[in-house]
Amino acid sequence: MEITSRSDASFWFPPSIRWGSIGAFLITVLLVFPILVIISSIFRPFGQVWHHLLDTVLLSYIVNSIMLMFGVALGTCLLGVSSAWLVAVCQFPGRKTLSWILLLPMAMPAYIIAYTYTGLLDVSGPIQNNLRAIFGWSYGDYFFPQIRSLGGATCMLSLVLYPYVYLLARVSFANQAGAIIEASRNLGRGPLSTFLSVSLPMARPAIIAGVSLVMMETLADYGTVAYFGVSTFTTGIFRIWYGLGELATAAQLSAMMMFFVFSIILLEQQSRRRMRFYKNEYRVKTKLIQLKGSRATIASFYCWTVVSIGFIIPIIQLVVWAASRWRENLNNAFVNLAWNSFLLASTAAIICVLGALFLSIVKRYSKSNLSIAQVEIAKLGYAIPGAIIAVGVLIPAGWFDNQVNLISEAWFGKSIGLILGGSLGILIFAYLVRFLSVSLQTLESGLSSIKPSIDESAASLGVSKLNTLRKIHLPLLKTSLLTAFIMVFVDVLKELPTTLILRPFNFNTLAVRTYELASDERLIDAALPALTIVVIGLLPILLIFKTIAKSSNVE
Amino acid sequence: MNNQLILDKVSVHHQKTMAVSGISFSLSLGEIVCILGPSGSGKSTILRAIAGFNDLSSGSIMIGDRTASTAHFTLPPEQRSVSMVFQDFALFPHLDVSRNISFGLQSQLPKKRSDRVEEMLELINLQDVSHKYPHELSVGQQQRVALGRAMAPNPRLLLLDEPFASLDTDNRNRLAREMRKLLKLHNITTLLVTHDQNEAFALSDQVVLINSGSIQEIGSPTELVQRPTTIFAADFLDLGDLIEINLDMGGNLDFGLGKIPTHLSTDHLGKRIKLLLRPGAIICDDNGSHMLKIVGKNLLASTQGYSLELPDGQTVHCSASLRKEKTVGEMLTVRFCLHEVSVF
Repeated sequence: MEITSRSDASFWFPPSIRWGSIGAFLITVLLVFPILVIISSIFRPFGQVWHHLLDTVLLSYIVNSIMLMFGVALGTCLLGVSSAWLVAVCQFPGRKTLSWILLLPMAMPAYIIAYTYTGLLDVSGPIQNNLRAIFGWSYGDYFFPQIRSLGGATCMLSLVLYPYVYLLARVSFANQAGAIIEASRNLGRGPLSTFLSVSLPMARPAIIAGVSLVMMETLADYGTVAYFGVSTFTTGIFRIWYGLGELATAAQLSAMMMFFVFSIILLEQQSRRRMRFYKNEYRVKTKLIQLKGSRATIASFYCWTVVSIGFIIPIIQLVVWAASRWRENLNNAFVNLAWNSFLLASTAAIICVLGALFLSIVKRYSKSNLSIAQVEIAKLGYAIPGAIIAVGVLIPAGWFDNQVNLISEAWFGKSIGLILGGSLGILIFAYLVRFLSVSLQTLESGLSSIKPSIDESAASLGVSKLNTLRKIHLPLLKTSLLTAFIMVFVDVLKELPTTLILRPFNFNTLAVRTYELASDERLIDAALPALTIVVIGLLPILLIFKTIAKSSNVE
Repeated sequence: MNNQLILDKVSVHHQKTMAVSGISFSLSLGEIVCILGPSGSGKSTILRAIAGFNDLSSGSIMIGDRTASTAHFTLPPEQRSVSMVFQDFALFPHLDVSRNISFGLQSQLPKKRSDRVEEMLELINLQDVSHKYPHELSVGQQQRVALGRAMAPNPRLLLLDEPFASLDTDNRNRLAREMRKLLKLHNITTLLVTHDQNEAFALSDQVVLINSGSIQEIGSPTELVQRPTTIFAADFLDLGDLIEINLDMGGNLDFGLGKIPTHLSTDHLGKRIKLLLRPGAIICDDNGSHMLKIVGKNLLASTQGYSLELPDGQTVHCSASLRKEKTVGEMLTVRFCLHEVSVF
């Protein structure tokens, strides 16, 4: 028994776990490759299109992207911090329910809320129609803010991205030591001064970490800005690739965008490091501030308004639209679409989870600096916008197809067409680059909750590493594996730019179809696929909430 | 009367259960008083009520000449001029040492504020780390910062919550003595809370001994040790062996070893009493007249400690020189020296 278990271990992990390490190294190289392709493009000659870009629209791409990022950062900060503070520190009716309801807008992809509000607020939408009917105005008589604008995009993105800030800020506020707050009161500072000079600065690293996630998402967004006609880096990349077919220039624009991406990554990692120093080591929690009368009503009303605008109103609108045409739209084509999305998302999710499991297990066993670095590098993918990854995948795939065709023409006298380009394989590979980090983070936190002494006691009982993995780690990781799967599944389901660029010809997903229908102003028809995405998107939020509820820290 | 703090029949409830009840004591200017008691006895509750973090259910608290708390009114903590040093220090992690100390001085002019910070840094001897952050300091340094921060605004009253609990035992007594010197030098009225009697005795002028939410005894450390009036005090302060014994009408104790004469007051005569035998009440002496069985022993630094069994089964302790060691089960010859016994 002992001998067999040793031998199957040595098949997978020879004494030094050499093969595991080599495998992990190869995976990491594969994951960074598209990013390296993009970065290396700045060393290639800049073509005519680039100079044309420089003379005309490049500055507006940069300015719009920056304004959008900072606008959304500000918006999410205001919404996220205020709601987090109310829910974490104050006591008012509905506080517990709101603490998870406030997460719901996360399920709403920005491009979906964007087109829903466009339908609601446009000149021909119900709001303006009613306004005209009530006041007897006609078109042009009155001022109404234009939603298809930079400001509109800022609002839409803020409404669905604030939960990132809310989530981190709430945990930070809730974990702030009662003693620290009391120390401030004790030294003569009132509640407001205490909030401004103690609570808020102490939550700052968490808030900045949340805001940097928001900025990553904003930079990566394509659906909203494209729909609103705002020129940013992502729409620029699409225009150059689709409109001009200039992949090299698209890569160079992507490389420029990477500068922003890396700045945000640095910001995020720095604030996460700071968060460690501010960690709560005290036992006594602050007493919740009892809000009474009108204050309680205002707090409750405020939080419900945020959720209503960010989730409830758009979802009602989507349901109304979807219901009005469900007979026409719930057909074979839709089933086909849903099936495509399901297959694509679950394949990508399974591969991501397996890859993440492999990397994190190798890291756990080998504990070498290399394997730790590999995991950190693999985690970077999430910060890279989907459009950039798509371009970074497309360039080597195109080069590979060209080479194969050259060889085949030389040897057999005919070309065999595209092999990688336009295949589901490279699409899934691009998802892997972008979303492996999501599953990796989940599995790593799951693994870290299994104490190393458990591995050691298994080893001292003569159990091989592979058997430890099978009999101890995997059963204990069951929930983490499922969570990782669902997180990636939903992210793939929602992902628009990567899918748009890399999908095989005539292959559609729910996200792509939603976007196409909305772009064609068929908002009502777009509701059914959109609603499907949102409803499935609720799954990971329930999971997040369950994990938070479990760690007694928060309540 | 220059009382800085008066507690009058203070009671506090935590979720309908009584945490402390009927607490009354006062502090005069420059006095250092310690609330001593086991954990869960309600001592922190009293401190938090004085700081304004707990509401009273009855009684009142006066700070200086101002009513700070009654059953119907709680002055907000920031208006009490009471500074607290928290158990875990509660230093602001996002501020450096200087800014932690100046935190309570925001109503003062910048010049005056920085002078005061300098003064405090000098006082706690941390000038060279004034720009470090709390996580970069040792525990001892953190404690000094917490003390400096609390003293900076010149509070009417300083509260210390288990001030040495985070420090290792070697440093505690030394730091307690240093802190007493500092507090006395600046004539700071101080109330501290601890479960460690060594800390309490090293620091304070008066000790308020509490248990289960009510005061057992109040007195100076010497009074408490020499003349405890409650069994709780004798037991909690670990003053010696508590045994139950009969005192006959002639003032003799009956250990079952023959009568032992005492000079106890007459109102205990003929009763079964609880007797506190301090170390030294039983002396190992080869010329002694009593033999007791050794039921356990433990080596102390310079003496051998023996647990001895009385004929009725109660256990007492005695220490003897290391030279003639006995084993468990043997008999030890002792004599009784009952000059300083306490009776309850």
